[in-house]
Amino acid sequence: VSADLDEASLTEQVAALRQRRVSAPELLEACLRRIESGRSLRAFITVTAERARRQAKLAQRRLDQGDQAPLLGVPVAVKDLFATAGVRTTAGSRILRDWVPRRDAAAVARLRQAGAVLVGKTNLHEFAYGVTTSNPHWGVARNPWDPSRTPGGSSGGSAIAVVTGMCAGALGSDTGGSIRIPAALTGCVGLKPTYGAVPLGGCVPLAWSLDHAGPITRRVEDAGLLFEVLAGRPAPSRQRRDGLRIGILRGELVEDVDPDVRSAVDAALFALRKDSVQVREIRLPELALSVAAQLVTLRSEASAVHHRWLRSRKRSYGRDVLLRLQLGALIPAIDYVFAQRARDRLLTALARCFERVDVIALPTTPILAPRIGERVHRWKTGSEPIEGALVRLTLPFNLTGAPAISVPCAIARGLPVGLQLAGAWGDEGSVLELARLVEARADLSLSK
Amino acid sequence: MQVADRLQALASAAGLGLTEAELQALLPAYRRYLALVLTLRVALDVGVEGA
Repeated sequence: VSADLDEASLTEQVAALRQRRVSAPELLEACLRRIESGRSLRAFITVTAERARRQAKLAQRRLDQGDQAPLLGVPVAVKDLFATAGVRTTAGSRILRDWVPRRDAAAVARLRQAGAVLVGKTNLHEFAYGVTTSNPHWGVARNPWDPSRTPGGSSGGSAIAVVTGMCAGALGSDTGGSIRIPAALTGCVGLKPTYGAVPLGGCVPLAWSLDHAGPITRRVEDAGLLFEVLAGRPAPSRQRRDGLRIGILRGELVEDVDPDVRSAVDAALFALRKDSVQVREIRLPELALSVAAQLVTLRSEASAVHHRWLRSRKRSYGRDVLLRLQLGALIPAIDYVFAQRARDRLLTALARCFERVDVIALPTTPILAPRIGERVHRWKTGSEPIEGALVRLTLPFNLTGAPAISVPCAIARGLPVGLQLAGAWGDEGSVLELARLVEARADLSLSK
Repeated sequence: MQVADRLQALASAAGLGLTEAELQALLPAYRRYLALVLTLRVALDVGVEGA
């Protein structure tokens, strides 16, 4: 395999396989070598090398027969939150360390049906309940750009695997930013589709009304391809007479942002003016309640999911996750109801906003990848818990279910910066279209 | 009632069986939660007349 091909985009790998420039087993072996050499990054919980070799051989036979399945022979990884038939699925926990599901999760089944070769199950924050992937049971995941820093999470292993060429694309889940945050901190593309667009059957839940599944890839076109496979539908852009209209989010929620992140994002958006994109500033005061609404909703629902184990398997949880679950078990129903009312206001405001703009733009995270173990970020205005800072700008789109993508737009102080683009419900097309423009303008070399 | 006592009563009612050390560990997060949720209550608790 040429050095270019295992670092190539998923779409380029599909083309190379069809044109016989590489075989599925060759591509797989290149990925397995990268998994082996990158073990210290703790991207994987389980590597399914032998199964993958059998799948790759079968895929090659189908390719030889001219089979055009969209992902045929392409190595992909799956966050270990999704059930995989015959392959251990831990959810990053000790509680499920020996669970071997009988059936694939719906999203995994779609990947297999499309011909993907499953290389393994990726590391995550325990039960996806946190955004650092510092997993006490399966290892602390490390950022390929600087191993002393977090890759983000909860789908941290999937992002590491994609960025380092351990696979061409990966499946992640996102309840407060868990696809977009690691994508931003490691320099790849993460798409959280519209709520419900990708089926969640067989995915260990974190919070039913906030959970989403979606792809993590190196390039935007790959995210589009994986989305189509996972959602079972294409992602066309909305028809419009004029160019795309972007609203750059201003206001309280985006006040505390690292100056390097802010200037990188603003520069990327300014560059889009050359592509006939209309750029304006927007404000959404209703976002002021989004952090509180998300916290109450997430804590309550996650504790409902875990209510039995919280009492019977308490000592099997890591410290941070146990604390969150215990707190969630104490939240009164009244607060949950208020949170849903705030959510409703935000939904209405966002719907009105999407009458004026096609896409809302903001940084994916207000900070660059923090050091592992760092707990607090200090702003001029005060301090903010790291986990809170990392989810602050992504969570509004979990509360509302609107599609949002993180696309790398710059390198600042040696670390990637993610630009977040959110669109109207069902309009993944506009989000992907704009992300493609950002990617083309940024033209970064992001392989690690 | 002090926040710590309130937390203990809530945890006991929820059947969590928290140790004293666990209660102490939970206290800062619970205080942060109370401060945050206050913003929701203030913004949305308009009463029956204002609904």
